[in-house]
Amino acid sequence: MPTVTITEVRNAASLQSDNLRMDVEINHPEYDWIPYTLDPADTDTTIDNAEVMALIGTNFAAYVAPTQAELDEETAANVRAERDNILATVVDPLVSNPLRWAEMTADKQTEWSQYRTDLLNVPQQSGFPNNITWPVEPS
Amino acid sequence: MSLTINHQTNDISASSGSMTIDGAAAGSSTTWGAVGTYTVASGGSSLRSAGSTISGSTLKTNAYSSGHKRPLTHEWNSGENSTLGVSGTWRNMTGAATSTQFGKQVNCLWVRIS
Repeated sequence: MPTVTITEVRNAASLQSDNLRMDVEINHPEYDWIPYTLDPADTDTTIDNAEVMALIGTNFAAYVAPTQAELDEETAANVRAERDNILATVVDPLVSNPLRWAEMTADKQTEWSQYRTDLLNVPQQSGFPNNITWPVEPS
Repeated sequence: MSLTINHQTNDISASSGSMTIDGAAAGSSTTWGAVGTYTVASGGSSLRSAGSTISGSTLKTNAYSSGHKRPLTHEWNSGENSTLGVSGTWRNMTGAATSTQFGKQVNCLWVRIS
């Protein structure tokens, strides 16, 4: 059962093409005007989302779908960040530690060196950024 | 004074005097995504002062799509967009203003307040 009644909304903007999920500012009885993401799948019932949606009505900014170039740019940034994270947390602590490095056999050192090179070359893969094959970490 | 809870009508009443039930504060919740839930996430590149609020759609998650782990202390590069997908309103509980540092977006502690 909703425990907070919203009577005013403003600056609504659709977040997806079906106009069900929206960002909107609500005049909250305790917090005044605050940003709020309205989603019909929200399991929290503190606020009656159907009521807020009725207040918005048709007064909202239309959803603007990102272009394929923008999507590719985002994906590329995500992949690079993921690659950098693996280098920083898995590879570098091993290969830049002289004691741990010296404990490895020559074959293992070669495997790890190749793994590092393959990670650095992920952006050079032909399917980058949408269809890449992650190098397999040496055992 | 005594309080009476009628389980059939869901009424709560006092035998005398007045009674105040303040449900405004956001208590902690163990139901993910509900009001009172805490999470660690990035609030994007804009300045987020301590106590400021943002919409749930602005929060970014701590997981990579391929399943690789993203540590809680990870900083986001510009262009990364891993939306957490939560609803409602979230407050920065980190206790300090956070935005970008050295061109990276930083993680904050957030609590859902509405």
